[in-house]
Amino acid sequence: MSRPYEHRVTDRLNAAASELDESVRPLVSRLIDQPGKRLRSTLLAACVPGTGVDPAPLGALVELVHVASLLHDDIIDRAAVRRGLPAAHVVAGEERATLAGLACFALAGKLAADLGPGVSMAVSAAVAELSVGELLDVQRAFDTELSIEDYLELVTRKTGELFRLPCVLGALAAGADRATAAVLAEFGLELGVAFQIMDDCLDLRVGQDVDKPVGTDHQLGLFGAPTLFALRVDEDGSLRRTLLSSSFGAHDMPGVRSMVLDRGGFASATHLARERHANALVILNRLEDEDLRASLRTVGMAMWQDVT
Amino acid sequence: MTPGVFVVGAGPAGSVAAVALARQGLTVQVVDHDADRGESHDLLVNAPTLATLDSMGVLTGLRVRPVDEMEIQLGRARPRVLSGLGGAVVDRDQLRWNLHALMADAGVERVSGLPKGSCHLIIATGAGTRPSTSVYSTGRTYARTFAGHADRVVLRSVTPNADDPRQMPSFLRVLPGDDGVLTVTLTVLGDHEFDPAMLAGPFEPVGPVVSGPVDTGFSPDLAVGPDWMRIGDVAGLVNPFTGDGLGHAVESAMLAVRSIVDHKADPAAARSAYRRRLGSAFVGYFETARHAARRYHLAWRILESAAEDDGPFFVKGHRAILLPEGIGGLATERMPRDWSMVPFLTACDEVAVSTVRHEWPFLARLLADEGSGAGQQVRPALLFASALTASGGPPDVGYAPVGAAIELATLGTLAFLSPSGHRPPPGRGIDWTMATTVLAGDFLLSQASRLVAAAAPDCSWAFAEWLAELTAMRATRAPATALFGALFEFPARIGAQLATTDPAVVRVVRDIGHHCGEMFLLGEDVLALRGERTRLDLTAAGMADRGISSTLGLAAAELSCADTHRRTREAAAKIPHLRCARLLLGFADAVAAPVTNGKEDQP
Repeated sequence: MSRPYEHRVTDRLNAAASELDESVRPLVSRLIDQPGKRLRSTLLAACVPGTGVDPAPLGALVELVHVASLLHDDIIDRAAVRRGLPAAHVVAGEERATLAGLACFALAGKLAADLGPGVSMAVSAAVAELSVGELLDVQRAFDTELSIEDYLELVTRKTGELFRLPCVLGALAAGADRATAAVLAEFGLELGVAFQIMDDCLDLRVGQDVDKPVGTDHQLGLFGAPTLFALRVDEDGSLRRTLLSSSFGAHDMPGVRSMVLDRGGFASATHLARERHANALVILNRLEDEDLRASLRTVGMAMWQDVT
Repeated sequence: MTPGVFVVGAGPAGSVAAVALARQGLTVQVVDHDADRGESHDLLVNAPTLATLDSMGVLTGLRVRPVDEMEIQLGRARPRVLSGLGGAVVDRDQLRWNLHALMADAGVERVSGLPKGSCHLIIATGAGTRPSTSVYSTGRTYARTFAGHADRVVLRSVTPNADDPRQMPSFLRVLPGDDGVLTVTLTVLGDHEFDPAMLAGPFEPVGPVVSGPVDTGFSPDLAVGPDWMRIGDVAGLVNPFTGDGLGHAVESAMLAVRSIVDHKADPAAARSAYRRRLGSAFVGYFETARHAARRYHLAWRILESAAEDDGPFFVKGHRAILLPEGIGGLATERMPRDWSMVPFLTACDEVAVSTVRHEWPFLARLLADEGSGAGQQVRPALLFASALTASGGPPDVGYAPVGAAIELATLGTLAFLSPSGHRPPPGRGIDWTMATTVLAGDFLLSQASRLVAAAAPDCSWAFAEWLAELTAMRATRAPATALFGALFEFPARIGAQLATTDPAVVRVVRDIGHHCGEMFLLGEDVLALRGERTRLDLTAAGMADRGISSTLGLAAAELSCADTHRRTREAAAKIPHLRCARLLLGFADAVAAPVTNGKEDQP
């Protein structure tokens, strides 16, 4: 166990990926080699401190589900870049990328089954919720009147669920009692929601070095929290007109950004995100196990510093 | 005393209900405020409605002009022709007179006052006679006759701006007539203004524009009140995608009839039975959700975007939404009915539909069983159920969720059989065809995995392995016969494994499953090469484009299928339980029917 956790997760991911057919394996391997922030496996490990449980198998499982969802998300979002590289569907075509994602979901299903029926149940339920969240996300395309309530529902199901999954699995592996498991699940969900709201703010960042191109969501007509808040006070309708214009493109993003800023959209979205993040930390106070509470608090704070 | 029924309104829904109830021996009174309906015009009658009307004797003496093709053009997409409609065009007023004559024959009493001591109250007063629930669900319909000729039904959607989620599409239908007269109907939802002069077109009008309200805002809750049930248009039962109301009017009338006949002396029980039946009959078109308007718009965007996609998932999807037909089994051939299978398959349907209906009504439509032919259609759950009888008894209903999972996964797999040359639409915005393929596929497969994890956790690994295998076969472009073999092999194998511990039996059943998949695909090739409608609604070119063809010629495919059929019969002889062998063979016969039909050599 001397090899660091993160590497052990990578080892397991590579071992799992070796089972994939070579027609799709490279598309998966390149995402394993460019690991991103590994938030989900980190969260999972934070749920099992001092229990002697090796979090690596489950850590690899949640990262594999994440990889699968990225492959499919990028097709739906028509995203050109992922983790600084051209997205899989750009490199290999949509059909192959679709099959690569599908192969990862199936592989995750096998890994989950090996780890027990509870794991299968949790993983398949989370993936089902995720696809519903994605559906809610795309079906509201170009809706400039989307309520914050509806927005939060899609964010909860789209991102919240995938943060909740590591916590549910962590609780399961640690043999946590029902009350503890419920607290962990709630914490994961809340953290995911806060995280997604901040991520939406990033879509509006202009000229900064992020690993995905700016404004892609706006291009698709999927407006995030800051823009939705700004639209509620868009008295002269100029923001709405810009967003709905058929010639809308990356060149419009600086204008959108300043309009969202003027209308207090960033301030409101950031406030909402902070509120949900603070809420996540408050939920942890219901935990009796101090080590567990401290471990999750540390992860919750560290993740937050990365995005703010 | 005979229980009485009071029907308000004598349009198609009210008349059909009155006739059917009176023939069941109930005392029926009808009040009809014969409103001015304007000039008569033609109506399109879909296949199931035609069958219902025919069995009631409504068609006697009526000019019934069969139509078998519908050309659909959604937005700016290329038109597509759906065949096998089995519908007809009839004159609205003639239909009405026939129904009224039947009412008189059946002893229905026409009254002008209020009900006195009636037990059941049916409201069938047409659209616009109840408060609307949403601007998205109400609108107007316009009809006019023109001098001109059409060979087939044409359905066209018109929308000014696809990217505005609040804009509602309009649907235009052209119904072929005779004597050089055709009928054009237009259904406009939402609150935008419409100028009936638009109905002019290239043709010379024959009659005036006839216009009336239309209401698509159905929900089972609004269809049943403290002492009444609503049927037809007043219940908002108009297909929002086509403007078709007649089919639903007759269907809801018959549901009300069955509910009342089942509970003659207990109107409250009849109403709740009716409400329940509506909920399952009209699954998919109208789910009450906070997201209703956006969802409606989404369904329409998908329909439009995928209008040129000729893969099974979208073609079936179009037929399910625009025509009254679900995926309904993968074949029109039916197996001999075995009553012991009905409870299992009914449970399967319930689980499958309830798993998807709230989140993806569009998909639920595909799963909705159009007939009450439970247990007869050729579908993977039936293969699974047949394999379960290797236990010696009927299939264990506890495994119905696994059967449902197999159905959902099969549908999900069909979604992923995407075409080779899909091109994303130009400009910004979502690629709806692609997005739907991925999202629906993921949703169906994960829901299926969830059902298996809950109902048969020991099968979770095998289930995931099956999906992995199908994916790998697709990625490597494995021969299509092998892909379909694997698709059908799993339901057979897993059913046998759950039913028996005898590995020899499991092996035989698994082989039969594989054979069935091969025969299914070969049968598809044969149908396509003969120019007939295939069960997956694929053309020969579409099959080749997707790599889902055996690539054998007609004669070789027929030969191969017949040979596999013979081997299946030999294999089935090795199964110790006669009923299990008979069921599996029945399935194999139905799958191979396009090839073996009529020239069956008996064992």
